[in-house]
Amino acid sequence: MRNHTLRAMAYAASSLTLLVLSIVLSSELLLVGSLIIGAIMMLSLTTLPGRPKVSAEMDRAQVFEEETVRVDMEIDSRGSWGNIEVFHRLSPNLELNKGSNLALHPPGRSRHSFVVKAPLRGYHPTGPTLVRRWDPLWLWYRESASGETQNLTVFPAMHQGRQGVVKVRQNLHRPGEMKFKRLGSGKEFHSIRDYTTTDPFNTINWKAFARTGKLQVNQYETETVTDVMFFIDARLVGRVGLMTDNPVERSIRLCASLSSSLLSRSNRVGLVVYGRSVNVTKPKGGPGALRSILHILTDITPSGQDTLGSSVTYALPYLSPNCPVLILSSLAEDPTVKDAVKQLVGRGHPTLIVSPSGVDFERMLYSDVSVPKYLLKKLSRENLLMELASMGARVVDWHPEKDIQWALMEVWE
Amino acid sequence: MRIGWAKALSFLVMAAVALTVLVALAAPLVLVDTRSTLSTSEEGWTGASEILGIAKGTGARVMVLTSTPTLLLEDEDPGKVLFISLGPQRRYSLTEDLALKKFTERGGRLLVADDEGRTARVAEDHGITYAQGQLYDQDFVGDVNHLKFRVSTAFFDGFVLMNRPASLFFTSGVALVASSSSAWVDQNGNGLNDNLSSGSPEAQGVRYLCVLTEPDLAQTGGGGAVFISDPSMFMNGMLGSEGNREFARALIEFLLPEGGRIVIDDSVHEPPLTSSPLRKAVYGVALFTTDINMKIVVGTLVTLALLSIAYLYNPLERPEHVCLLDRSGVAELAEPELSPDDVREGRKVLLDRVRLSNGLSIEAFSKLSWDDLDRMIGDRALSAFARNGRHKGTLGDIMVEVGRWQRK
Repeated sequence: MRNHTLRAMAYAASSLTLLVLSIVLSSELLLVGSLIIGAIMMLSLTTLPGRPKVSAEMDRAQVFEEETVRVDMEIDSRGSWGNIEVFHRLSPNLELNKGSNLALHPPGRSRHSFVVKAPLRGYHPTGPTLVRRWDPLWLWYRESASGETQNLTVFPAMHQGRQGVVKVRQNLHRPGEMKFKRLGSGKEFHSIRDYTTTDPFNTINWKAFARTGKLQVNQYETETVTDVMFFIDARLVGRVGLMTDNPVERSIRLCASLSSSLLSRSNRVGLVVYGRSVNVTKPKGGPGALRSILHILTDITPSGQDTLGSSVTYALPYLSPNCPVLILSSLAEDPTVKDAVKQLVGRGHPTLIVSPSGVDFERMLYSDVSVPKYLLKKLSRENLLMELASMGARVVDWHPEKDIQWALMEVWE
Repeated sequence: MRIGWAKALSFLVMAAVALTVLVALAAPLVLVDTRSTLSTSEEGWTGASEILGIAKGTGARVMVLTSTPTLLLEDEDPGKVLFISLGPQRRYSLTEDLALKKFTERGGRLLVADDEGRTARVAEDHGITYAQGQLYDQDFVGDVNHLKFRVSTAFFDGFVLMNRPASLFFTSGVALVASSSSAWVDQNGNGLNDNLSSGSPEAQGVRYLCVLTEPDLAQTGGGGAVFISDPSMFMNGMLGSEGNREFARALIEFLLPEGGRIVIDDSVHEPPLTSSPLRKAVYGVALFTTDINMKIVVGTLVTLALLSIAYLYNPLERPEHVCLLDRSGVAELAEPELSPDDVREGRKVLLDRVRLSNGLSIEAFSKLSWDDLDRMIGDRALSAFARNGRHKGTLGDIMVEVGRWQRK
């Protein structure tokens, strides 16, 4: 469809006004002026450039938070008059880092590039490209869309932090991922011994055989692996604070970081995400597990009001006996938290609660303004954490000013 | 956000413009009597094409007006114009009447031939009135409808033949053509002279068929008008009768100023049937765009239409990347002020704090007496708050005290 601009309106209005004046005043001069303006408009109308071919390519389709993506566009059109305006649509959750996604080019072949930053995880649509073909006088344009919508997958940022054992409870044995300095079928080398007929060939140490003339085999440390279940609070109430920094995002980033560490050491990780509904991912390990978990975390949208209590009740059949449970929640506006934790602890699940303080995220938004209710909510939250700790769960109160490295240090023993 | 009624109004204005154009196109078909014509473009018996030839024969510049006599207002030198209107088939509008009046006041000269009173207002402006009814006289040729009159003026001396003429009254000026004293006017149209008494409307007497409003027009060179009560004498079919042709030529030459122009009004006649619809359309548009009232109406409507289009115009949106990452949300602190409703939660916070500090379960804590609780709290103000929610100062102050409280 051909559209016109305010400038075209002005031209048309001038032409018509002159026409009316020429009739009223019987002036041939005004009539000529009116016809000239009309002719200019019509002439400009006929000189729109041809429909261009536009392609837009991202240098990567998957990135982690805070990383950048370069988008290269190529525009090719016929004609020599007019202008071509291209606008590559971007998700509102993406930032322009360098350059602009809006560009103006003369007809012909041209290139355009810009860099996008992805501060927030998610599947962010990019494209199609909006193309406007303009006449030389910017009176008329034709609009069309070119290309398909592509998703830029932004995984939550992962932090290494300090490696160790998940510290679930003070002064108790370690039910989380553990390593024992004893023989087994792990990957860490332990010692060499003489070959027996039941040993697999691939454990034979050929160098030792060459040196001693006796068949000897490598022995490895055994590794005891365990399942770790994450409960992630994805309720709408967890999105207090900024879009990029709120209890839900913090929980997701911590979960991604911890999952990476746990999976790299042959543990199995399961997820329970509750918000609009309860989604359970059974504990899984091995290659691909991390990617699978990252995709689940990437796809989380804070919404709904499901409670921790309902999610624990729903997920209990999926929990391995005595497996550690990590609850990542602000715990705000959830009256079932105490019963849920009591239930988990009572069933023998070592429970670690990492709670980004929602009320503190909100307090930061008010900046220097006095917020009398803050103290009430803060004390209420402290009481709750205290009570949860008294039930046998380990509780980490995560203040917004503390970064994820601090949280990782708190989690790992 | 556009308002519904305003949008509807805009559409109405545009519809009005469209309707006006349609009316303009259809106007000639409705406004003009199609039964007969004295149009210069009509070459038949009832046409006036020969008058055009006579006018051209004077050597003057001759123009045929197809739009409206209102244009006379815009003539810069009306003193050199002779305007001829023969047997108009429509009434002149008020603006046209005014234009013709102004025209003669500014020195223009007018020749009007009408027997149906369509130019009555123009005539009245010049002190002349049309008498209702056909004139009958004793000097007829063939039948009583064709009357023969002697004309004896400075510019013409001879006879003219008229067909079913009317008659004129005048208060000033001079009669160029008059009847005999036995002429009478059939006012009731029954074809009989109902002259029952001397005061009867149909009483016999001299009647006037052609009047010159300014007798000294030739001497002064000023404006003036000639009204003739029979246009048919100028028809192609009648010009050959008696001295009609000579009279017409003599009258035109008499009225025509030196070096002047002749404008014959064809705007009051239907265009010939051979004209294309396009010409009719142009004719209608011309009518609507030359009349001053129509100009105002059309100009106003076009302006309103432009304003309506401007109002309905959806401005071009400049594409721009909108980043929504700076959005924020609140939940528990959506209402940042403490209210009396928060007293209950404040008491719960205090009681929970005391209970948890003493390592008591809810059941055990609920069995405590108020005195035991007072002892545990160890603060009279906090105890009063825990008991019934009473507190000195604001709720915020007492919450600060709750926050500072520690088990002793």
